[in-house]
Amino acid sequence: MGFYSNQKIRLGVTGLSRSGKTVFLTSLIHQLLRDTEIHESIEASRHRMRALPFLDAVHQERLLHVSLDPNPHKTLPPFRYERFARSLLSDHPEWPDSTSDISFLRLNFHFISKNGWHRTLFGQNVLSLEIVDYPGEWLLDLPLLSLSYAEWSNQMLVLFEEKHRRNRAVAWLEQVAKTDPKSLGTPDLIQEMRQKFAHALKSLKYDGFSFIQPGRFVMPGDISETSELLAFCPLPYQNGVEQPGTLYATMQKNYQRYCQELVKPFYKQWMSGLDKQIVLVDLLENLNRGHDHFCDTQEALKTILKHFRHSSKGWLDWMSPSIDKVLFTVTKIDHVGPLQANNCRLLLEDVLLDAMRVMGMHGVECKTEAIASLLSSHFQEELLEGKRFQKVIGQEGRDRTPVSIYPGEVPQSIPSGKEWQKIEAAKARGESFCFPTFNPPLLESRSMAHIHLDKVIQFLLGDNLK
Amino acid sequence: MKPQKQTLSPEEFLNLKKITSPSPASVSAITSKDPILVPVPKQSKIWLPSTASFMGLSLILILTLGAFLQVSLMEVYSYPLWQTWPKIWFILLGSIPILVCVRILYLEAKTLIRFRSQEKIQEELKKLYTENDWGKALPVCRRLVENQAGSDEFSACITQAHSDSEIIDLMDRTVFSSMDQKAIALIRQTAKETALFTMISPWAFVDALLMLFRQSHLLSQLCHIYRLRPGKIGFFALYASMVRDLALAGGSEILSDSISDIFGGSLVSKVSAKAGQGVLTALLIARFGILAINRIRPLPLKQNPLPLPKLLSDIVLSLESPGQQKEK
Ligand SMILES: Nc1nc2c(ncn2[C@@H]2O[C@H](COP(=O)(O)OP(=O)(O)OP(=O)(O)O)[C@@H](O)[C@H]2O)c(=O)[nH]1
Ligand SMILES: [Mg+2]
Repeated sequence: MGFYSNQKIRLGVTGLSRSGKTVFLTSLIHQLLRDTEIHESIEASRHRMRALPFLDAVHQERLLHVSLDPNPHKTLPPFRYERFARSLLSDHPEWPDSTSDISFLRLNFHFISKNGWHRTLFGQNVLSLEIVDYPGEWLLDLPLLSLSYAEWSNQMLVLFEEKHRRNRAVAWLEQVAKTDPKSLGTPDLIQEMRQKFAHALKSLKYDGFSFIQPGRFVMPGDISETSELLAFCPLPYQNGVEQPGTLYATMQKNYQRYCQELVKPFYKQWMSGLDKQIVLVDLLENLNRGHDHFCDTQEALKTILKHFRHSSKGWLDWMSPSIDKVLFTVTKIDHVGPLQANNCRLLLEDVLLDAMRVMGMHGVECKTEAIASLLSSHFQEELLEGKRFQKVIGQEGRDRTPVSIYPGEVPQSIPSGKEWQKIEAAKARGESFCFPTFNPPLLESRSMAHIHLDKVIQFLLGDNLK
Repeated sequence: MKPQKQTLSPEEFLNLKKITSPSPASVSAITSKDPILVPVPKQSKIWLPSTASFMGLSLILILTLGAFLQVSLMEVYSYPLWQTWPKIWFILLGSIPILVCVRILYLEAKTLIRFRSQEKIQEELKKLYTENDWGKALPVCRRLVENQAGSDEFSACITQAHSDSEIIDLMDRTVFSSMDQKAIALIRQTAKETALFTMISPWAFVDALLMLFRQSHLLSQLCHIYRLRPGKIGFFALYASMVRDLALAGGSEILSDSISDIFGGSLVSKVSAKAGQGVLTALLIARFGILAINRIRPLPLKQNPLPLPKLLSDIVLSLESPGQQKEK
């Protein structure tokens, strides 16, 4: 037995819902664990070498093995890797179900240090990596901490004047218009209004919009939907509304409790301890859905990112996040040809440019990457009239019918109004951005293929695995 | 331990977009501020005789030979055979070296053509590395690493999704990184030996000769490690172009500057002149070696494998050790 040098790192994995968090984590663990399935360790390391060639520790044969802690945390639910992996590796592979709560896992990396002194002193090193997987929607709540109820209400009411929001919140807006905030705040009234508001938010979410506040209305986590904490909605401010007992005052109180009892503890407990963060963005789906969705996601991302800037604004000071690396990834790029992967990356970079600059100013290292956690398609290149086209071939539906698509070109920067028109036109003709959802591939070899997961690990952990 | 956070200066901050997107700068040689490597302004092209001029030269040679034989045969026929015997011997013997020459030229021509095609492959790879393309690098890389150790591993880890630059990176990792290690060890060894010899040799002239010899020997060994067969002419051209690069870059002043940078100016004056010279030659050799690697490799090294301080301490340690052994 030698000495161990033990290092602990906490990685946050987040992304708006359906951005591919669960599949990402499952595949990541699968790539690293290898040796539990293949017993001879030489064989395992060769496998890992093939699967993760861009990870330095693997390439230099310094990563001995990786293990998954079965009981990572006392209170938090563990990430159910076994279950997800089994479903993806079965003979009838299925995508994992939607998860809407925080989950936790710990991976122990046993590796040999590159540094000669370190090697002689400690022999083997252990890096224990804690991963917190939480819905990105919860991050959207962070700004609430700095907004009073009146300010927030005002913002929301303005936001709901946008056409796509107004259309989905007709019932609630009517109710707001006819209700006097000074009237008595009976539980029935409050619940009715809350329900209509929640309904509006849910239908927005259902249609794929991302900028949804407060996040717990659509992703409640472990609290019940009828809980008092969620019993509020935006109301217009009038003189004298704040008298005790009025509808406005009750909602204001609930709003404050929501902030203090749900939002703040979450950040205090989880965000403040993070060392690294990876944000998954399903950019393609957003392009797919069109201008409104794209702008909406852009807005949501900007709001989320505000909190990584440990700004001097004061209200973030108590949190003092210690994050030193943030990676933004475009997920599911197996829906486009390999030539487009770089474009996806550049587009995301364009969307996040300002935020990344500010984070860079504060010493946070940022990068963008384009990944596919589980490669579910293959590519073919064809020459048509001298032009190269990359065809993407995947399987669709229960009977796994093969489909091949020409996904078209992904813009390298945020499309302008004119370009959007072009994109919409191309979409109408069925020439671009109309991807079906591919089935997960049938993996006879029982090993998942991926795109660029090794680069992700290298960026986030490369320094710690030295 | 956490890595120190770096804060960007306003200029860097404005350039962030450039930093985060892949730039050709990442390819163009090494950009570290290491004095061993920086001062090569531009790699001069290796001058190689073109195929045509080579053919022309060979043709002239063969014609001369033919003429020579013709003349000799004429002589042979105009005299009775018994009188010409010695002359035939003379002619036959005389033509052997010429035939050998032709043979050598032929072989040279073959290696030269191969060397030039390899040079072309390297050019192509450099170009592909900067472009964001797909599907073009793989055949080129395959051709380059054919039958080399690690080529199986290379083929095993590439997938359809890898772009051209990634494929080149992977080739670098799987095939060339082990060669790099050998090459670096060799350079370090050569540098140390040369330093030692310079310190004990009394004549500057011998030092200079030794330096030349060491350099060319190192170059040929490096070619061998990287499986590059330049042939005689190619080798000479390669060497010449490297010497030209080094001359352009300026040599020892930069190095002695950098030494004083590291040791606060006092090392060169404190250490006896001869020892200083030894260290200097070692550094020159190291620099030559690393430039050579960058020339020979399909892509230049990404970072300096022989940081100056480490090399220096290496040399100093190796100089101390004989004395220490005596003490024991
Ligand atoms: N083709 C392809 N599809 C993917 C990939 N990753 C995710 N998907 C698709 O995206 C869907 C959502 O993935 P999840 O991992 O469940 O996303 P999530 O972020 O955990 O979603 P929530 O749990 O609802 O928040 C999956 O059902 C797949 O259809 C991928 O690598 N390739
Ligand atoms: Mg999930």
